[in-house]
Amino acid sequence: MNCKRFEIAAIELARDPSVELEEQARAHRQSCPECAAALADQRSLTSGLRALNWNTRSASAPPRVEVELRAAFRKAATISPVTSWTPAPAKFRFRLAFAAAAVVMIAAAAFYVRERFANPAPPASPTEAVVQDGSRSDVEPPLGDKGKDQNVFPAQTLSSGGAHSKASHRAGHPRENGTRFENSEVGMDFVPVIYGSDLTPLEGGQILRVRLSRSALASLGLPVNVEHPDETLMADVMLGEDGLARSIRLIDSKGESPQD
Amino acid sequence: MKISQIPGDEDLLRMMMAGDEDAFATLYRRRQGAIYRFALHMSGSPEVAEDVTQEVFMTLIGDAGRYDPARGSLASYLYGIARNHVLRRHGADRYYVQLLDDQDDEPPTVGAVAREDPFADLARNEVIEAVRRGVLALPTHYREVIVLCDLHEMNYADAAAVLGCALGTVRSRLHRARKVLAEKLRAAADSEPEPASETGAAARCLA
Repeated sequence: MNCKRFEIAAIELARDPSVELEEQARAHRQSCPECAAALADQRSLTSGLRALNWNTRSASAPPRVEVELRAAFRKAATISPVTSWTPAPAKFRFRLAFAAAAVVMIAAAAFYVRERFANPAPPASPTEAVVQDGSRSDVEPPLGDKGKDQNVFPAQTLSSGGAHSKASHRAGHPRENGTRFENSEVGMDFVPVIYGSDLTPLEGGQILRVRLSRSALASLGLPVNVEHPDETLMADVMLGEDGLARSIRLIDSKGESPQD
Repeated sequence: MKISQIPGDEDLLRMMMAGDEDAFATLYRRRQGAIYRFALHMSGSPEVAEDVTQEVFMTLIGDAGRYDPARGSLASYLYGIARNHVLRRHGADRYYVQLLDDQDDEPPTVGAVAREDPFADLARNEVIEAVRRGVLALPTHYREVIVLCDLHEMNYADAAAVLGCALGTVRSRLHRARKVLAEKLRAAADSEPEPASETGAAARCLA
């Protein structure tokens, strides 16, 4: 054993006097006076530290601290009583906040449309005309220029949530269920927003264009990439006469898939 | 009372968060002494120790939900808060210089034990004071491992949780800190032979 190894061992030995020196360490201590002195110093230091610890063993905060803390506790419990201990991860709380914000946005949009719905204008776009027919199949937008527009998303590609999207639609696959809008905007299929079975039949409605976060869109069942949950995408929300959102679809104004 | 009926720290924390003041008081009485002594050993000041203790439990009252049992015990969590408050209040080096300037102060009498031999008491108190000053003169990162591992007899893993570093770091820092502390005391003992002085106490400590 050399001095370096003995020094390491000596400190552990000094901290725990019940441990006896190994044969090698004992031999080194006898042959090296400096290491023997270092071990003695460390043992004395342990004694000194224990004496200090023992000397302050009963030290504690004065009683007034407890009185003040109990008063603060009562005050805090009165202001914001906590009934359960469920520490949520920050990421989860963040997503929850986004989902709540999305719900508020949809509700606000519904309220706005409901206020304006008293004087419904004749539908100007093919989509709105279809909405007034009321059936589920009519909710889907009519076909546009089949096979001509290479910027249109194939509807099945988007709704299936699969990986291939750009390659197929850029290769000019025939369009089946997409609608072309002005300014090269492309809409995918409407996805129904499910509330329950007590909705009134859809006899008419209006489409409202909104921007929603990816996480909110994903929570509504749309096939979007949620790696950037706070990034917003454009979407059309179809509202019924009762002001409730009935279906939603993505609008792509960049020619890119929202799954990217 | 059976041991199984004694609520653990986390049980008390849950009850406290549900508004149970008695649970908070029990938790406070169980842990305040260690927190106070930690702050006292780190700062050398009873006033600072009192303030830090109060701030630690005020933090617990205000945001107990931040405690994550997966990251360590509640005691370690409280030590960690106390450490942050101590460091924030004084900075790394400022207060130990101040304490070195303060060497004529009375030694602490807290917890002093009556002995039959007053001379033995005197010698023992001098040794304790010498070690106390030696600990306070250490750099912060050495002082905190000495306080946690040697004065509070915390194992390496718990100390690592408090300090937010690896277990091996705690071990190496402690070895280095003890070596530095022993050298300081030895140097003080060798420099002044007067037995009644602080260095005389250091000499007795390292005798």
